[in-house]
Parts: sequence; C-alpha cells; structure tokens
Amino acid sequence: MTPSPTGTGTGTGTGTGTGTGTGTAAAPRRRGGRSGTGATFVRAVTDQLRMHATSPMAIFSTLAMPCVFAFVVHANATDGFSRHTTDDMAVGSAGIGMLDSIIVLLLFSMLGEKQWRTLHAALGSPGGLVPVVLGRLTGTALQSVTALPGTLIVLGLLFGIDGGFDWGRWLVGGVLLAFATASVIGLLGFAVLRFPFSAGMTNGLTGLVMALSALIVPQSALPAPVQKLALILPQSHVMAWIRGAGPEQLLAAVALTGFFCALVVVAVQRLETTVRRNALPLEA
Amino acid sequence: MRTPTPAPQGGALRAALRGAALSYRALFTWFNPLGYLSSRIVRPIGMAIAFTSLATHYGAGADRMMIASSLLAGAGAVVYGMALSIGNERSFNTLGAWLASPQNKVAAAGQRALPHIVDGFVGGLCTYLVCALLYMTLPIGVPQYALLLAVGVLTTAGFGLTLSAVALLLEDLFVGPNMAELVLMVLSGTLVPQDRLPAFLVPLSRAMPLSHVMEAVDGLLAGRPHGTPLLVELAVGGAWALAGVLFVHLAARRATTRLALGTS
Repeated sequence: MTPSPTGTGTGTGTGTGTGTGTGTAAAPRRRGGRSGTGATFVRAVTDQLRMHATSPMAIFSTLAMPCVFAFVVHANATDGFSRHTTDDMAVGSAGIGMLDSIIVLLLFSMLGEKQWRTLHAALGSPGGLVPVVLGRLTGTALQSVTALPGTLIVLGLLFGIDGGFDWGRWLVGGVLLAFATASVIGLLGFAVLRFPFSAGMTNGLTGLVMALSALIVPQSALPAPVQKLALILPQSHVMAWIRGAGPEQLLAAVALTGFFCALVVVAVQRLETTVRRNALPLEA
Repeated sequence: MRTPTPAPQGGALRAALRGAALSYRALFTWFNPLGYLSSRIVRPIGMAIAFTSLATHYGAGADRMMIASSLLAGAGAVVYGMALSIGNERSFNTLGAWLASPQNKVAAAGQRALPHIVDGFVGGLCTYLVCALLYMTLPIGVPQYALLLAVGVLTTAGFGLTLSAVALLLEDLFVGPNMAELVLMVLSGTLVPQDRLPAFLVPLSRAMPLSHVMEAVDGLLAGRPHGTPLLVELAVGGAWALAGVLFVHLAARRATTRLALGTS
C-alpha cells in the first residue's frame, strides 16, 4: 500500500478513530505549535492511559503480582539479610509488575489497533506507525510506573522500610526500569504488528525476562549461561546500580534502553516499507 | 430411527479419551507451536531459574527450590489448562449450547482435565531437567521426582476442578487461574516453606495442593521416609475434587439460569 498523498484528518491509529488532523504528507499542518508526528505520539500516549489505566488486569499485574513475589523474596531471605523492605527489593518487585503489565497492555493495545483497523490510517499519516507504537509504549511505561509507589506502600505496611533505604536510587532506578522494560518489550509490539498472533505466545516472556533482568536476585546469583545473556538487557544494569554499583551501570542501562528504542523504531520503519511494497495486510 | 446402544467398556474408555483429545484441540487456545512453547516450557523454566537463584543467593541451596518450582510448573499448567478448557466455551460463544446439552458437566470437566494433567507432568519434568542442566545438580532421581510430580498434578487437578466452576461464572477467564497461581506460590509450601509462613496461614497451607508433596520432598532430601505425606496429599486432592464436583454442579446450574435470563 502506498501512503495517502493527502492524509488530512486521518485517524491516528490509536483506536478512537477521532483523528487528530495530522496534516498532509507533502506539507504537514501544524496545530498548536506541535508537529503532526508529535501530536500523534501524544494522542497515542493519552489513549493508552485513558483506555487501560484502570483495567482489572493492569491493577492485578502492577500490584498483586509484585507483592506476592516480594513476599516470596522476603520469606526466603535468611539471617544476615535485611528483613525490612530494601530499595532493591522494592524496585525489583515493582519491576515484575511493570514487566507483566507492559507485556499485557502492549499486547492488548497492538491487537486493538489491528482489530479496529486503524493501522492503515496511521500509515497514511505523516509520521507513519512509529509515533503510534512509541506513544503506546510510552503510555504503558508511564502506567507501569504506578507499580513503584503501589508496591512500596504494601511492602512498607507488611515488612516496614529498611533504615538504609536509598530513596534516590529507588525513584530514579524505578522510573528508569519502567522505560528500560518498555524499550525491550517494544520489540514484542513490532512482532505482534508484523506477524499473525498466536494465542499464548507472549506468556513465556514474563518468566524469561524476569530471570534475565535480575529483578529478585543479583545477576551474579544467576546460572553462568544466563548471567551472560542478562548483560544484554538494560534492566539488569538498572538493578545492579540500585544494588550499589557505580554510575557506569546507570550509563549502560540508559545506553541499552536507547539502543532497544532505536531497534523498535528501525523494525517498525522496515515494517512500514514492507507493508507499502508488498501490500502486507496489517489487520490480519 | 437408530436407538443408542450402551458402549462396551473399552469403547467407553476410547470415547472418553477421544472427547478429552477433542476438547484439548478445540478449547486449549495455547495449543499452537509458539503458544505452547512459550506458556508451557519457557515461562516455567524462566520462573524456576529466578526462584532457584533466589534460594542460592540467600544460601539455602538449589535443591529444594529447584524441585519446588518444577512442581509448581506442573501445577500451573493444570490450573490454567482446566480453566481454559471450561472458560473458553464462553469465549467461543458455545457455553449456551454446551450447558443445554445432556452431557454430565462434572464428568465433562474431569474428562477435559486429562490432557492437562499429562501436560502438567511433561512441563514439570522439562523444567526439572533443564534446571538440573543449568545448575549442574540433580537433587533427587528422575523416577522419584516423576512420582512426586504425578501426585502433585493429580491433586492440583482436584483444585483445578473448583477453578473450572469459577470459569463458568466469571466473564474474565484469567482472573481465576491468575489468582490461583499466586495463591499456590504463597500457600502451597513450594516457594515459601510452611515454617516461614505467618502462623494463621499454616492451616490454610496444609489444605492446599502440593503442600504435602513438599513435605515429602523435605523428608526425601533429609533422608526421612516420605510415603505418608503423599497419601495425605492424595486425600487433600480428593477433598478438593469433591468440593470441585459440588461447585461445578452449582456453577453449571447458575450459569444455565443466567443464560436463560440473558444476563450472561
């Protein structure tokens, strides 16, 4: 399929079908000082939050699941380790909720876009699919950040807060962990858009990425072959920084997050090319 | 007009197995290469790696946690499979036809559990073997582990029957199994040993599937006899199955009424 030469008033592909007036391909119209691509991105973020922020599945993923995992971690911690909530336990547990909710929400969002047949409209807009996918991804990351305070409140009530709790690392690390996770799971968004969906195909991601992210134990505690794989993921570096490593781990995490984001952008752009050249049906 | 004749005994067994296989193909939506691999193999192995690493990090050794998380992998497969095999009737809009059919719903739920019990056994065994390779240790022999796993998935099927009843009533198919998996994680004595649970949760834990299998595992690892806990486990599974029979019966009646009233 070729892009619409005019594209005026097309839907943004974010499921509402209301459109944001993203302008023509030849001369993008600007509205409120924001480019068409930027407007599409912002609309995708807000749509994501509006549609899924209060879904039972999201609340289950971001609160119930991390608290159970934290309980398991706490119960297995023996003498010599803090019995109170430490910063790494709080962020790691929240990270499990973030991971699960980002996977579920991104899957629902992308399948929704396919089901509502809004992707070809987005393809005809000046920014194409990239701002839609990145907007949805940012929305899921922002939404998953709620696991950070939510989990901490429950854990604080259950186990109390450790005296050496580093609030700065908890906050910065927690927020970075959400975006790092979203950048990695962004590749799933591309896979869902590109290939036919098979029921259950994403179920294994939680277990796999959880192990590789070193969320509940340091990377050094993982089996040797898994340790090396964990280095590829930005989450393991975020967790290493939260556990007291130097700023180089933080830099590595930021760089890898950027790398995965770039990978998502390139993959989606290649998908656009394939769709246009080969008339690939996006709504299959 | 043909009159139905009672099937011979071997024929009844064949029919039951054929029904189980058909339900698996039709209602177990993860029965595709990617879905199966992801749900039944990758997910439990990933979880087992995380939990076994947790145990080794805190100095408890890999043995107990490796067995526990592998047993939990088998149990999880049974719980999700049984919920899907009933709940998907609603997803595929066939719930009304199924409820209206003369088939015994409790027997049907039991029949549909069969492939998932086998599946749980396979998944639990795979998880154990992969973890054994990763951690270079085999805490107990494969035949001994297979016996424990077989008892574990059987008793979990009793628990799963209760969840089948929940799947008949709740519109969101995954609420029941998701919650059940978390409950099993905390209360089954697998990931959290019973002596580390708050005292008020211990009686509840003893009524959960897998808790007595874990007692047998602890006995086995300590070189104690472990036959009695397995018998108790089977009794717990039987009690859950009885409760499940009652719940499925009641849930099927309630679901039929709701469908008749057009509220579901």
